[in-house]
Amino acid sequence: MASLLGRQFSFEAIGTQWTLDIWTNTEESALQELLQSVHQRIEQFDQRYSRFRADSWVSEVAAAAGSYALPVDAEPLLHVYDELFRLSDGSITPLIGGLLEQAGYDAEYSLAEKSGFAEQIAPKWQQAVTYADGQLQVSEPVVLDFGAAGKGYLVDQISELLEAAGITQYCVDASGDMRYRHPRQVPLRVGLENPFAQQQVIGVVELTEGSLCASSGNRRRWGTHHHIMDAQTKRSPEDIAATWVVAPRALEADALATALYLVSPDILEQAFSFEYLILYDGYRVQRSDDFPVELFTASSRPHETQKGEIPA
Amino acid sequence: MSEDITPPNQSGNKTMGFVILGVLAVAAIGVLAYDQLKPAASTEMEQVETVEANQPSTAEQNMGADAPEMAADSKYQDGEYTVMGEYTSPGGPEEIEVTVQLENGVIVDSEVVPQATAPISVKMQNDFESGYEEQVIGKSLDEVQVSKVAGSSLTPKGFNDALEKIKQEARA
Repeated sequence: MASLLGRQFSFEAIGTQWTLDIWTNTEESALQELLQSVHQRIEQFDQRYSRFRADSWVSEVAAAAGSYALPVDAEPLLHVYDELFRLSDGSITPLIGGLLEQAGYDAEYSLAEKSGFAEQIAPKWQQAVTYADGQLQVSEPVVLDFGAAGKGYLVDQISELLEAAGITQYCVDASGDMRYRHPRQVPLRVGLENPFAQQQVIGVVELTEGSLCASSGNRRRWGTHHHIMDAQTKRSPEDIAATWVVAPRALEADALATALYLVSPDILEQAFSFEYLILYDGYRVQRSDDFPVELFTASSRPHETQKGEIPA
Repeated sequence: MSEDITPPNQSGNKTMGFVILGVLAVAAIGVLAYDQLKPAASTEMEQVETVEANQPSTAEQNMGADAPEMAADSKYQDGEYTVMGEYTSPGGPEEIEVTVQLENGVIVDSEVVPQATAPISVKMQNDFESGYEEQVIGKSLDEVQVSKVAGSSLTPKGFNDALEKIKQEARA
């Protein structure tokens, strides 16, 4: 990979490798302070939204019906899920958490389907759960799962921390879910990982500004399940190998990359503005007209591959 | 950008067959008139006219006095060909419009316009239209210069450990 100028910080947090590239000239003390607040934000986010942590807000909600104070940043996340629930006729819901646990995707990673899975149905979002005025009401204990959009939302929050520190040229990359900004919109060249062979890419996106998020069912897979499950049918879609979405915010890009497994893009376009690429089994591709990609096809000639730009 | 579907030279015939077979795959009972796209070196113009006659909206048809020259090694004349495929689905008769752009006997571009009316046929034609066109290959990261890679997020370590454990138990 081409080396990037500027400062690069890599670390692991919430089970994901993070890489922050900061090209805007920033004093060392300010950078260190910023990094500290980034780590604090990640910890705070995890403490709120992880269903894998016994001390999280989500685990608190899962314990009993009742009224809970919403975390201050919860509403944008819930709004996205409201839209996806509506557009998918209930296939996408934060209440998938209970089903995923029953299917074996639990805090212990048992990866074994539990006896209750066959009978269990996801409670109806907006019936079991309502929220208003900073309060969440749950009529029965529910396991919330923000896996479809949470990481993207955290990428947005970290990007905002960087921007608040005066950084105008950066890339926040949480293992493939990324947000990028450059004052002159010099594109960042991002390879689209081949889900069938991870040392390969199937094309290159030129990201000028905004977010690129990917979703793939190929790695977190056990039995007949992977981590994307239809709350209605309780099945994991099989014919889609990977999806990529470009959108201004990573919250939407991440959510839509997952949603494309379960909902056709023209339905999602009714409520969201985004560009997408879907890779199906057999290396077939479906994409929106303005998805900024150079795809590799059997007829692509090697000389068409350009050198990676160093955004400077 | 290299997204043109450019089959290797000499494979025009095969590719055209592929497109048509693809259309047939969409149709439950396909009766797309394959003959309409068959080469006919001596009666090329008539052949094209036949195509046009079946397709009322071929304004883009690039034929006539200033038709591009035929490639020496090609049995097909350059230009844009549009046909309306007709077939009978279990829900009744349906049509699908297929346009191919020929250069030197090779299809360099193609387009499908779904025309179906029955809902299941609409879905099948739409799926076909969005899916048939592009097929990609993987290239080694050594050959491609990129700054980053976007794929499935790194799997949480605990997940991999658990999976490994299950595999070992399964072997035991």
